[in-house]
Amino acid sequence: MTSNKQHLNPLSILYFIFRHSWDTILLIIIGSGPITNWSTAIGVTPWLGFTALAILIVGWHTVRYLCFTFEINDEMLTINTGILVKKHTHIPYSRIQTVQHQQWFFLVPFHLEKLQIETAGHDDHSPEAVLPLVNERIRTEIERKRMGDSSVSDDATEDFSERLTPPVRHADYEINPHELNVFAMTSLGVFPIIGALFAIYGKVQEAIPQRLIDSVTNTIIHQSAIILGVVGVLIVVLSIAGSYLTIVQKYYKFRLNSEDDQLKTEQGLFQRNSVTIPTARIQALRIKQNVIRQWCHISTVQALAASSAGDDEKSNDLMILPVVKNDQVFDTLHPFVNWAPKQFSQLDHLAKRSYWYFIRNASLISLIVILPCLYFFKVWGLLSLPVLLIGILMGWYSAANTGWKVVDNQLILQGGHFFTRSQYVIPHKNIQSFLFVQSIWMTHTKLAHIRVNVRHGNSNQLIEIRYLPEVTGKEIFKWLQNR
Amino acid sequence: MNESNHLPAQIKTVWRISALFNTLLAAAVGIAGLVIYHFWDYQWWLYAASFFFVVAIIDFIVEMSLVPYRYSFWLYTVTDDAVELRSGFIFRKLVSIPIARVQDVTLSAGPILQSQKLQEVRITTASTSHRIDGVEPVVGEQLRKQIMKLAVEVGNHDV
Repeated sequence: MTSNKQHLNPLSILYFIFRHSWDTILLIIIGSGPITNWSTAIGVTPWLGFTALAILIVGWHTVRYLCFTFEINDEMLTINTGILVKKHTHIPYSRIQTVQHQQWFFLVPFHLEKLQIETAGHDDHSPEAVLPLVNERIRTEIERKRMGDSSVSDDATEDFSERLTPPVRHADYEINPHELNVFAMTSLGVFPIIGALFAIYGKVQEAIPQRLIDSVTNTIIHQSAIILGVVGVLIVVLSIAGSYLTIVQKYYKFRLNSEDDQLKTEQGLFQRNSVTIPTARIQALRIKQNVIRQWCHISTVQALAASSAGDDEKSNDLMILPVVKNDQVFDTLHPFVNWAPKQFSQLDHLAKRSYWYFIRNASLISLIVILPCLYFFKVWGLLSLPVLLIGILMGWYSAANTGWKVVDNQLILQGGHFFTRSQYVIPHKNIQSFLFVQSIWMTHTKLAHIRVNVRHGNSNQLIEIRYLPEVTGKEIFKWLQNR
Repeated sequence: MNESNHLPAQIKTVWRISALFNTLLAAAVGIAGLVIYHFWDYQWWLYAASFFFVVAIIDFIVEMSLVPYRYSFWLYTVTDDAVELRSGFIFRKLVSIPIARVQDVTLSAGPILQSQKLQEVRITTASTSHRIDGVEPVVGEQLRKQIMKLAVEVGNHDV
């Protein structure tokens, strides 16, 4: 075993400083008092003290950089970090779940990128290995080593459907600009932004001195309705534009390609973000559409995997197809994920009488908002009643979109939450544990819930079908029990 | 052993003792509050202390009265290829964990469990974790062996 310790690119000192800028600012604020005092006490200008502090900070991160090394051996990747507490992380190539690299546009000429490597271990919420700034060649090298022993991961894909269809060696997909446009226009993400902007507007209004408002109000009091209207429209337009631009830059030139059973996604305008994952590591597929996209007949396909690599720090969702026409979902998907179904299955749906339970529960939840409003604001609290209407609609939506089906070796579950429909395709072998839940009242109404646990990110994704007939619930449970 | 098993009867003692400990803990916080009130004479300390006393008493009553309920409706089954845990009467829950998915089994026993000669079993899959509050060491050992045997048979069940 040859030891070939390598350092990151020296520019990563800047990265470290930037990443810890909050600490640095805090340090300067806390330190400013004592530094000024001491400097004047020993009779030097305080600037000298601050320069010393700056040198100290840069020095600290330089030492950090010097202590950060990594080795690419034949069997594993080793990362050595830590100034005082030395930490050595060893990652065998066969255990790597995803390789993610992010590259800002200004780093493209230098061939530098951030590399994140994840395994299925769930110790930590951050990736197992982060190389903040390395040459692109490092990733190629790691990927080559990982492909080298693909024999191990081949055993893991002992899937029935796989033997029927020989794996496609190569497939490519690039997002259609028109579809991306529709996708960005139909995001429900505008609503939080609208809310936030209105909140900011409220705060700004509070902050304006009362005197100013009084003098201004006098002159325009009769126009206030118009002004409010204009501000409202402006806020909505700004939100839509903001949400639209965010999505377009995020999925700009989204590409998906598969080679040797490895899936690779690539996306982004300012920062190219790319994730590589072996197809066999995908735990389940999620086909998602919000209510507007349901009307536009477009869907989003995501993969659930034991890795938090994805397009979002928080959600762990690994995007496979950001937007695709409903009738082409599986045609597009199948070349990439060979165990994916060939078409949408005709799902079984709830009987109409089960809708009542969803509506009842959603209404009860909406009472949490309405009752305090009525209590505190008396008659004005009645204004919160639309929440009840939204609750009822949500309950109805959830019920109407609930569906299930067992197809070959896969369980297909569908549910609706907050006006977004998600369909999960879960291979039997990836279900970690499952539950059959029933309250004593449900034994009389002959209904039950089925819950299925799937690994997702560094934790668990619970997928639940509520209030389905007891008999069907038992059938699914039986099917799950069969090894 | 494919039939459903109750937890060993000693588990009731374990639950009672731990209920007592929880109560004592809350009561100790309450007493600490009283002591501070005695020295500082700030009304809120008295309220906080009484809150903890009330919590202690309610917790004790609820936990104690639920012991027989928990015992009679908590069942576990170990079949050849799955562990099933059944609990509750009003809210019934049946969990099934395929042994092929089990990543590791942890047997552990704190002082209370040790005094009753029991072990807690924690079964972990790639995504979830399940607990059997207490079993006799023989059963724990058997469970461990069975899971190991199956894990070897199934071989690669990688996530």
